[in-house]
Amino acid sequence: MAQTYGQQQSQTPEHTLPGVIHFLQSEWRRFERDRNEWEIERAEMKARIALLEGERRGIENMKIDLMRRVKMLEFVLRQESKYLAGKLPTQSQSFTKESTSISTEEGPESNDIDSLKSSITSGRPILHHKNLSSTRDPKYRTKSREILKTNSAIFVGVNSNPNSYNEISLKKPGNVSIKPSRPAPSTPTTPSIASINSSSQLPLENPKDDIDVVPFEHEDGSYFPRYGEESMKKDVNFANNSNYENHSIENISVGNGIDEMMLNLNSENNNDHERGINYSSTNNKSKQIGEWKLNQVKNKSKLAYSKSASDLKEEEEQLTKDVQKKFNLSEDKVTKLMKNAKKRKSQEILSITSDPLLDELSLSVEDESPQKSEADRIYENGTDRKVWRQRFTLRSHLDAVRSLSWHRSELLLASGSEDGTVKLWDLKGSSSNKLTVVPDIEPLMTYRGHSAAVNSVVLGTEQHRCYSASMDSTVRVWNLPSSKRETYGPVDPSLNLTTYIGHTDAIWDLRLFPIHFQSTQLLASASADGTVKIWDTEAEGSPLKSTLYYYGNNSREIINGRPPAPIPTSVDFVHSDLKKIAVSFQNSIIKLFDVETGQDVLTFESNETYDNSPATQINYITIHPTMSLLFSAHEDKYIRFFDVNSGKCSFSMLAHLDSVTSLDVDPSGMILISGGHDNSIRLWDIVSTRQCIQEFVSHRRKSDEGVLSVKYHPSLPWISSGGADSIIKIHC
Amino acid sequence: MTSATKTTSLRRNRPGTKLEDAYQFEHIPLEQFDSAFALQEYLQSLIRKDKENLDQLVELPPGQDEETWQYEHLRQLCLELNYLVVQLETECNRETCPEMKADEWMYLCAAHQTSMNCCAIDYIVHTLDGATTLLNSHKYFPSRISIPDTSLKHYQPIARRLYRIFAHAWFHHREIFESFEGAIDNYKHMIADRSQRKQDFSSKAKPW
Repeated sequence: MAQTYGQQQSQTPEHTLPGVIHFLQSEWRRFERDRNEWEIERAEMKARIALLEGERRGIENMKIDLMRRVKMLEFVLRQESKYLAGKLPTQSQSFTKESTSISTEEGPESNDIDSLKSSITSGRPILHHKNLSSTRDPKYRTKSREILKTNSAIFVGVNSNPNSYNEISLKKPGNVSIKPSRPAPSTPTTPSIASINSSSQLPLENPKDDIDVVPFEHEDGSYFPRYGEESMKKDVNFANNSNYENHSIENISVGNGIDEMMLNLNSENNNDHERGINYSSTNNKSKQIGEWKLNQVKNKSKLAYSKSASDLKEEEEQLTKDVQKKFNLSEDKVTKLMKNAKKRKSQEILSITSDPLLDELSLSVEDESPQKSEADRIYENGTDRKVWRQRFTLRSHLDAVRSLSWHRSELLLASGSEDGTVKLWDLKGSSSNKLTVVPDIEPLMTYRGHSAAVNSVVLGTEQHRCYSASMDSTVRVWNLPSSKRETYGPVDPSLNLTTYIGHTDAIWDLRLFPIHFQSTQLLASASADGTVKIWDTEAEGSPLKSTLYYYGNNSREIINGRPPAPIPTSVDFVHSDLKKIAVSFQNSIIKLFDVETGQDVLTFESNETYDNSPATQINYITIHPTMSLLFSAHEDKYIRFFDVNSGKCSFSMLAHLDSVTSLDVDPSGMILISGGHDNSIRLWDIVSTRQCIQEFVSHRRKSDEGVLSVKYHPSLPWISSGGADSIIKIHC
Repeated sequence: MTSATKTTSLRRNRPGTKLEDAYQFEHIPLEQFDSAFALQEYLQSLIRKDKENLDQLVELPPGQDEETWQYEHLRQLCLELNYLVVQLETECNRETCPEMKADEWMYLCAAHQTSMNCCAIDYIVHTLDGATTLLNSHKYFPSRISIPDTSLKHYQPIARRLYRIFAHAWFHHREIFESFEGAIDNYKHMIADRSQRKQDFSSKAKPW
């Protein structure tokens, strides 16, 4: 039964209807998402083509302009040679100089610009237009990216097909949402920032300088245009990079640096960027003019039309080469980035958009690129996983902390303790504290209402509620206080919403239906009275919806000869099939029930090591948010993986030195966390190796109990753990 | 079905344990508690074993610091007061008891920057929250094995204020007080505990 690893839980051999539908749905979603990506990419490519076309037209116009002037000069030359026939050679030379200087002075100012205005009108506006569109695009793109993110988040949230898991897990919502805030590795950003700075400042001065100075100072004439060329190259490079930005939607793990660019692009100066491109094209013209003049002077009026034309060609070739060079370079950067990003892939999970610290870091990177962010340092360690560290400790409970529950998006934690209270912790303010400063954090709220130990708590994010289950056989429903509430504010009895009475013995587990609907929100409770009750928390009147029994529907009357029903220890809704609920029992059996009918549908082969005593019972079960995997924590130190569809055990391991008490799956679905009475918290790679990634000991034993609850924050890189030592620890 | 928790030697409430089977741990001498929370476990074990036997409850276990023993008592007191508050909340509210009174004495809530005239239930909750926070403060009580001398001064105000909660319940919610006293015997527990620490602050205890 305990098979070794590497087997993918594929549904294909089964061909169940829900399985097939699921597969089709997920395929469809994947396809839709890909289509979105392609569309955005297409728009991006179009914009780029337009930009390049505009550039080409500009260069063409310039060429025409220059040709015209060459002809003009030729004409002057001819006139001159005629005139020279009867004059001295020395005089002619000085005159040549004069005439050229005059003509060139006219060139950029009257001829060039006039011609630009008149004959090249078709080229300029297009350039403008394209540039504008290219600068607007990033904004548009970020917007569409946001939409895409949310879409994919929804997709992944609903998706549960194991076949598509591998792809999706790489493109999971966590990963996507991380991106914008990620600090980029400093190496690629430094030059880009520098280039932006140089290009954003210099082009401002360039046009004037070019026009005024070039004709007179020929040596400098080639110098100034270089800026123009450089800035253009960089802008092209820039555009190239920001083009790439789009591709990064595809390769989600790519593009830290690009996102950084993005930030720069958005935050630094859109206008300069725009101008940069415009100027660069004009600079480019004046540059060529300058160079051409240089040639002109060197040749001392002996210039033949053909020669100048070939020079121009050379010039153009050189330019394209340079640009090409830049392009290649940027591509190299991009490939480098991709490599780095792939290495980091696994780490991506751990840091997520709204972590304020990371945001700060990324901002600081923007300002001082050489300074390496903490995240970068982690990358450079060569470890490809985030190392969790204890961040702070929450002390206020007077006895063992049995259960924890995070708010889905905020840094709000609920804790239930054996001291009979439920406490609510707001860690928003604490997150900004430095590691060295560890003040005593007081709970935002203490809910008193249970007359015995609280065994389980769960936060209903959408309902703005907290549910708690106790040894006193009741479930209590609490409203979350408003954020303005002071710690020592007046007692508000209205927060105590209601009490669900129905169980006749201690309640040990409580789970909320994973998806919130307006009209209904199910809550399942497992009690020592032998039943699992399902409550509809939005229902008017009686909240009790149904009761599940070990022997199914018809076992209310105890049949003679049948052993008494085992007691349920833990419940969880099946995320891949929301009509089903899994229940673990003290006899180490896991059963799947139909929520609607109350019938038991499937019995798992989970009692492999059961020896008829609670010393081998299952303490806790949790179901993977996207895969059809169920994880069970056993009193006899095992953690087992089950396929929800078949009920077969796919993996079994001795995970702790003592009983395993709690489990949770990280938001990405890649890592399983477990806590045990041996005081240790362990992280396990679910997907590939199934090895322990990290272990930390962070609680002390009281009685014979150690860690009692571990929970990943559903959207932020935080872990909370509660122990028998009445302490809650926060890791991140 | 009853679980076999009773027969196992582990002092542990496994998920699924029935209420009647919970905490059915064998009472063992303090020396045999092998954990950082031996004193707390010992005290809880004593309470579970025989909460009427006050002498035994407050008797300083041999070889232990009086400070740490008192500290565990205060923690336990706060814990059990939670349950009194639960019961008081049913009939003590802003309307019934707009002021924190015990007989003729009126108390001001010290949980605020400046003392406030909170209503009784607010006073009780604030006091309990404040005491719990203080007892859990890493700054004042970094360890449960040894208490810094400078933190001993906090015992007295904590005890005095918690004591007023009983006083209020006694004078204004006698039924609850009596049912609660019967259930947990906290009052006697506290009195006994206080009397044991009489030498410290009996002179300052307010009559009620």
